[in-house]
Amino acid sequence: MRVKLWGVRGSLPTPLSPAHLRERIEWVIGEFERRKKSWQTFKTADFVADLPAHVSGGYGGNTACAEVTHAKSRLIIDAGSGIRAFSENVLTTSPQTSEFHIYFTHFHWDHVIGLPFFAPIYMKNKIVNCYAVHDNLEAALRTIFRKPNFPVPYEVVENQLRIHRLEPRQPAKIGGFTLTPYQLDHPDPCWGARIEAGGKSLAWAVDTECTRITHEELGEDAKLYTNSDLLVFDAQYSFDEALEKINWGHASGPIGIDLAMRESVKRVIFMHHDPAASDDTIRAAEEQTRVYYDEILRARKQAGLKTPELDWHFAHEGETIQL
Amino acid sequence: MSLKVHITTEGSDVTIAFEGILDETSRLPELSEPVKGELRLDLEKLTLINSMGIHKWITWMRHRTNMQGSMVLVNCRPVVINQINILRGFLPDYARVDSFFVPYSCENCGFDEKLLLKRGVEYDDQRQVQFATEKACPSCGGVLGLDIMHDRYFKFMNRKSA
Repeated sequence: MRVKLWGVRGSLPTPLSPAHLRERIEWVIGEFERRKKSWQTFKTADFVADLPAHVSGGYGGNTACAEVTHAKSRLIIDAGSGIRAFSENVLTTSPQTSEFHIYFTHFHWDHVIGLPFFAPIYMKNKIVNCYAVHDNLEAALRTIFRKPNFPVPYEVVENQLRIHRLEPRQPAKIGGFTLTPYQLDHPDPCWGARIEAGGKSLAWAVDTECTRITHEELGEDAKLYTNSDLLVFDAQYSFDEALEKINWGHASGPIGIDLAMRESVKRVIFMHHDPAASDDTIRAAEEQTRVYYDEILRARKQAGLKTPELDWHFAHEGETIQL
Repeated sequence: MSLKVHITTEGSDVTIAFEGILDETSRLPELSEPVKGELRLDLEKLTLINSMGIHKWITWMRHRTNMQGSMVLVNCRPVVINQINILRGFLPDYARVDSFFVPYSCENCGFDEKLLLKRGVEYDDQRQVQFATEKACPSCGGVLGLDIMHDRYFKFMNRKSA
């Protein structure tokens, strides 16, 4: 299984502003000059490769969209603004693809705003299957394709769309995947998903505050997480911010670390970065999570508890994870 | 080990001693009446705190804001100090740390011990700390040094509440 993240920002598409770009260029040039003096053999490529990832590329500004592939099967999770780049890519690299599958976790703007820019929905020879647990999936899609929200009416795309309602906590076959929706803790009903194929499992848990925090409180929804190979988790806020933003529906890195350790998850990717956060701010939240992770491992060891080592980081737009 | 809580009352002061692990399964005590004197939270036997436990702790502390007296944390182990430093909120503005441990270890023989620093003795409200950062190892006679990164460990003292 392979997961490509086309959009990792939360709530609102967040392009890098001209002022931030200028500030970053100035910083990089300053760093270049500083290091050039101290390196005996200096290569520009080495310098660029050595820059922190949040400086050389940033975390990305497009909202939630992931492409999950296994063998010849492909599944899209959410249609945030990241789906536009996926649309361009797939029509270039696999123009013969005739059928697509999109799972919607919920219909907040940041998870559907890219759909009108997903070109296959306008192509008569394509079928786009849309899946969700919600009863109002079709109504939600119709709302997007309605003036004044968007000039193209739903009737133009209707023939290409297939609407599928999924049952909560019941596995469904989508291509070569088995997808089981589990409920997340978000202000509006939001359904994460456990996606399985080829003996690997992906737990998609973005847009969750984890207000049900113990294994028992999660009940049946704990199965979303347990023993998954990859957990994609919500870290919109730093730990301190999350403590202030009660019932905003989002979590933080340290909570994801503890959840993953308890549920024997192997790997965690954190996303849904706050649109109000600069790359430096997200980097600081990632660093806070790193310090917390190191400390909790040390504390668990001292307390005589298991010290499950996790592979984790904060997501960057465009990255691919191979399971 | 789940969290155990021991409550003792002396006049209008209440001491709550915590023992074990503070995590998402922990049950924090309800007090039947507001504390009119000093509420002392003794953390000497708290062995581990995770982020979910801190969530619970902070919610619990917020409910203590209607208390009439003061709140102090005593006998804070390094695990507590580390979490105070990493994750804000564990120590609210209206509480203060009245005593905490600093760990020492001997690089030569591995011996370790902790020293309790007390407000009014080793440190004051101006955040001046005075204590020996090195001493003779009672096990091998070598050097017993601080087993912490000094600036990072004492960062919490710069907080308003510390």
